[in-house]
Amino acid sequence: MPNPYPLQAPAIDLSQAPDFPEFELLPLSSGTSLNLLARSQNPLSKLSLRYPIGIDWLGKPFPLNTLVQLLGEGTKQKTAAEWNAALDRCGAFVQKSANRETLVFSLICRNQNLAQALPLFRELLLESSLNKDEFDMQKELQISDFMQESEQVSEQARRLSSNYLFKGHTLFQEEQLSELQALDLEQVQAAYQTLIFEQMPEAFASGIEPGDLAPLTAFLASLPAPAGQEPKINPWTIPAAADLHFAMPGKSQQALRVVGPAPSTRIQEEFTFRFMLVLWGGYFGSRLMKNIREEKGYTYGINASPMRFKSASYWMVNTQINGGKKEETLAEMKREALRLMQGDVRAEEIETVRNYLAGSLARTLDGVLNRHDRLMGLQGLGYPADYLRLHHQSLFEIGPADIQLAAQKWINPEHWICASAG
Amino acid sequence: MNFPFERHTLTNGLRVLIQPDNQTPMVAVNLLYNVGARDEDPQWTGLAHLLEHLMFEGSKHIPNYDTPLQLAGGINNAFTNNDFTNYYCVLPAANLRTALWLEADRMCNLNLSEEKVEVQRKVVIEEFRQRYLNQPYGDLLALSRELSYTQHPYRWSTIGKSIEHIEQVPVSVIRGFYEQHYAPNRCILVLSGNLDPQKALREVEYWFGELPGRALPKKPLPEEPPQTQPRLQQVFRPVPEAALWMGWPMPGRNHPDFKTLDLFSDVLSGSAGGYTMDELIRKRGLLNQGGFYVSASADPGQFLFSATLREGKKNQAVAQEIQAFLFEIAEERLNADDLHRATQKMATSNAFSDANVQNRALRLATAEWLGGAESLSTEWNEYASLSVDNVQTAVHRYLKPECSSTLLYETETNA
Repeated sequence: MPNPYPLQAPAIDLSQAPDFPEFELLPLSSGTSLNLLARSQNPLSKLSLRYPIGIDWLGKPFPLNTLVQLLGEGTKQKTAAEWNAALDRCGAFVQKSANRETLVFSLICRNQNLAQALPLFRELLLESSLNKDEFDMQKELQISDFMQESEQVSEQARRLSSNYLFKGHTLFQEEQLSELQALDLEQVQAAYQTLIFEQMPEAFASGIEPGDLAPLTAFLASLPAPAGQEPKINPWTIPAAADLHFAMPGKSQQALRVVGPAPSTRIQEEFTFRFMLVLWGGYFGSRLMKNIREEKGYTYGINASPMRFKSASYWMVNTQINGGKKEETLAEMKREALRLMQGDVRAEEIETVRNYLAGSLARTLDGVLNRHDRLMGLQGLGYPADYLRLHHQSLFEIGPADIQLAAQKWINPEHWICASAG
Repeated sequence: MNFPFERHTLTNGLRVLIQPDNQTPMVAVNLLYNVGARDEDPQWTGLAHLLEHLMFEGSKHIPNYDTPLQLAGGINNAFTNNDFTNYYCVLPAANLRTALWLEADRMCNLNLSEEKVEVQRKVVIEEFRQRYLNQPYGDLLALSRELSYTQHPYRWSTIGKSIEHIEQVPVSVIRGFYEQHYAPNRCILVLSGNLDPQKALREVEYWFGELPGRALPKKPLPEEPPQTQPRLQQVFRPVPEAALWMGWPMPGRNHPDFKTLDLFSDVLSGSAGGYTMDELIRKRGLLNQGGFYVSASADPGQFLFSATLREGKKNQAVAQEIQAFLFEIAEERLNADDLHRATQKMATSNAFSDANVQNRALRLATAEWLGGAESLSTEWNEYASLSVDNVQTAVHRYLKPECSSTLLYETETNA
């Protein structure tokens, strides 16, 4: 036993820059390429198709969200139960996720079942039945979800800020609900046609056994290959500062969501912005966590995170607070932002954030599934092949003046959109 | 699990599992302490979880836990359940020593000051509000536990029975709980990731080897008496849809029948192709969402059903239909293909969990705590060998109407 116990932390080493996930581009007969990650020991295969259409496409989420739910609920050959049972026999999962600009479908299974699962994945994508009964049921379930979520302060704050952020107005719950209720099957079928048959998805695969490459490329070649489609991204800018509130009497807590603009294009600027945002509220040791949770105990958690898109990016801070502490919490958030804008940053804080981020970069490469998602994220935003090395290098170059400039440019409280519910 | 591991036990009783993987840049350090909400005094519930928060507030030689770990590029977190408390950190493999340095000191030298306790009381109370008081259906878990258990400490939730317990528990009681339950012989340490097993073991021996074990045995927990009559409770709440909760007592995780009922719950609700989705949601239109699952506790637990109902459906009638449904599926419809499909999905889910070091370390620690981590390489075969007959026998033994507890969670508009 070391005696006395060492008070100094053991020496650390964060010098190793993480590598971009190892992958190759495999040309396909459709004219596009498959991003194929190097194999690892992991017994899983994952195939992802990313379509360049997201919920921003129609300016409202429902046709696309409903479509996402309906895919897998029956095909031209099989009922929903039959199709899902066949997928289960392969031990396979289909993940579906939508954001503002893209829609991703992923097939995950053990290596030995990939060839069996691919035809089912194809059936889901190209031969979904989208019949009236399934649509009616899914719509009913979505309305139920909507009503359930309406009771949550965090969801109401999210809706409030999103409606203002993306539509420039506050859309009240009744209007949102009536939009969902007015949704009909034809709208969903039209969305299906546009999404699957008029767009060329990007393909990413990992964990693929050599013998599975032929069925995989054959599957990809069988997808529609329309030419010349442009991604459907609506131009968008962050609206003016606002203070919005949704009253929910009887709730013992309020949800608070604060939003502001973030850099979109230049990666060096983004590196500095991310560094500043993490220091302010993006990790457990951040200013906001220390001040608002660890010192004052107003909240269970508070987090700042960047939302990165091709059209425009933004940051947001989310928290749920003791009902009577909203103004105090906002005041502390502003105080910490102003301190950063005035250059009040200690060298120890910078060192901690730098090292924390160096570890976070490495952590995104832990395991085949993380590497798969990391590659998709980097490729999707058009980052260069040396992105991770550049990001790692930047961590050791950012200083107090850079953080001050980034804070002045991006988190000035005069530009905040504050949405609260409770 | 495809990843081999080594097991060592230090002289102070600390069990150490080391699982190398040279394909990751990271290492996970997972410490599972053999203490959970079931070990609490009924007067001071929520204590195990409050203590989990306090474990991050600094120790005798290291006043701040988080900053050194962040300086080493790591993240950390923890959770408490009714059976155990689990802490983990994930950091670049080269910095393993930092995590061991931190964990060894807080294992036996936690610094519990009045000031830190006061702040964490507030934080936990906000967590209580956020998760249980300010959420629709937030009290359902607490109500269902009180209905299911009459003697065993599973009758309260990890967060505690009430905010008052967290507000009022004396620091001396917290300190006593820590001293009783935190020690090397109450802990399983798992290291998983890019490491050399021999070097890693030497590091563990250096940092933990001379920490003192504690002789205090855990006191036996009260056993839950057999349930012989159905239980029913009805509550009215301001929620948009009625909810239904049902539970039937079943064995703990080490009992042979646990896997049988666990597999049955997967057959019913583990997939969109399962009977719950196809029959109860699609065809009969009874539910909006929900399904069957098992509580997976070490001591005898519950086979559970929880759902929100479609508009217009009567809670008590649905409860009767759910009870009949279990027997209808088991006796008339269950087939070998159902079991095969459920085990195929289970195999993929396990591989999915093992894809990163943090989950893998937790799976190893939990399996070791339950009796031996070797079970991870054999348990799937045990599930795959179960038959329709096994399931039918278990359903008849455990899921009888007279053993059920039913919570009718009604909307206030129906009051």
